[in-house]
Amino acid sequence: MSNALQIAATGMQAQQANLENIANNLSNVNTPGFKRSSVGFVDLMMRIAGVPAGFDADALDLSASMPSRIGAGVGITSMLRHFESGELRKTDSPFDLAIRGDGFLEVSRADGSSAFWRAGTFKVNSEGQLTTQSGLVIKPGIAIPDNAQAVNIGADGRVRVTVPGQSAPIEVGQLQMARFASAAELEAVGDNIYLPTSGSGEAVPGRPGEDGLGTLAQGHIEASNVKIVDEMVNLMQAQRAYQASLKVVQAFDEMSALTNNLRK
Amino acid sequence: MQEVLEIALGGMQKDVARLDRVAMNIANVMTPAYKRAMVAPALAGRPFSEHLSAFESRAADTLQTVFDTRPGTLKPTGRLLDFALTGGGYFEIATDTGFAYTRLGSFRRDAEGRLVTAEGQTVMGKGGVITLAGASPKVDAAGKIFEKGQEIGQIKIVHFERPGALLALGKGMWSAGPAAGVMTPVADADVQLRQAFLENSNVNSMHEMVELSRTVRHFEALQKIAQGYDEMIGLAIQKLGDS
Repeated sequence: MSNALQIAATGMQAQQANLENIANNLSNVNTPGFKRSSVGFVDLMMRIAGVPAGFDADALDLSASMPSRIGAGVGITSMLRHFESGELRKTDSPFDLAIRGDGFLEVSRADGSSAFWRAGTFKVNSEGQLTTQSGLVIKPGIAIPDNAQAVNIGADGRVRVTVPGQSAPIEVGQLQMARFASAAELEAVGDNIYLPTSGSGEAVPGRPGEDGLGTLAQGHIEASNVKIVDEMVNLMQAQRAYQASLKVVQAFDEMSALTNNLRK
Repeated sequence: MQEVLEIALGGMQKDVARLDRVAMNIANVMTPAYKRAMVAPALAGRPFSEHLSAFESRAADTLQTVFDTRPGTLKPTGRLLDFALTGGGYFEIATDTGFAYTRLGSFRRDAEGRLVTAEGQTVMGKGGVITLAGASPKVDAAGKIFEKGQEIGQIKIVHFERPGALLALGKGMWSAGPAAGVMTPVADADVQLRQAFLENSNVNSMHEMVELSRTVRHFEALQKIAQGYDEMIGLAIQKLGDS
């Protein structure tokens, strides 16, 4: 009879996806380093396949009465991940590391491939290497001596350790960072770890503080970049938009009932 | 006598088409840069005599859809590659099948650093494709892009004589047919581009709800006419057939 039901259904499905996204953002409001995502809506148009067989298109002059495309509702283009920095919170724990600005730290996964880490809590593993909480080694593998009393990571990525017997800390390595042409296209695999995709571009290495890369801040943790007020407003809008599409479904239902009751 | 049923049927079909449009508008109440679909009665503003003659020849049986091209309100998003045009005008996008035009300024950089739409289609600048070195350019109100203080390009904004006659391709894109009139680039002084904003849908949900209500009641009224006619014919057949 009409497309109204399908169109309203796409409206409700889109708002449902929106709601799921908002719920995900809100549940991660306290997750360190979490990057919020938003849903992009686009209108959909369906192309009408053409004149049915047996009809003479010219005689009917269909172009005036039938547009070549009719509305088909709303669709979701993509889930955009927003990489703006969250607030840096001072924790004073020497094992907390945050990136002030853009960029990622490169880590090695178990199978040897590279992944990119937006910093967080690190540790020194049994072999004396700096790793993430889940044990992924931070590249380049910097060896921390067994007798080190303190590890200091400077804003420029230089790693210094304090050993007993030496008054000044000794430098043991330099951390490298990487950035991407389109960080929003990175694939998130959890734990603040991201994998490059074809859409994100290649990782461009560099030193912290140079070429637009951010600096490292030890003793700080990057908070989630979810803004509760924004998410609440989005939640209200999603709810009302869902309700509006629901009204269309109800109206369609009413009209169908009226049609069916044309003949008693 | 059959006329009554035909009139009711025609009216009911138009109501169904109206419902489709209302559904489309309501589903897209949160779609950025969406232009609401309006029903343009074929003989709006014409003298009554023309309505009567058109009725006889069934010329006014179809509803034309036109799009309301008034700009929507602005929503700040904080994304540096989101752009909104506060006045008229369209961005030019290079697609596989030629140029398309859009007001949806939600752009990003692709793997090579070019400015592209969310779908990956390149945004045209005045000098061709725009390539960005970093992800945080500054764009002024005329569309000029500055990176580290240097101007590296300008986004192309175009204007159509009759934007209401553009063909909707979906996904926020429009294609320029001959009905849209001449396309001219907009002068720098007339472009009103805002960075980090997106244009909201121009659907007014209150208006759509009123239209929805009206459509359903109109449909109900026509249904009653059809039922009344059915009853009358039934009675006539019964009474006349009995004798």
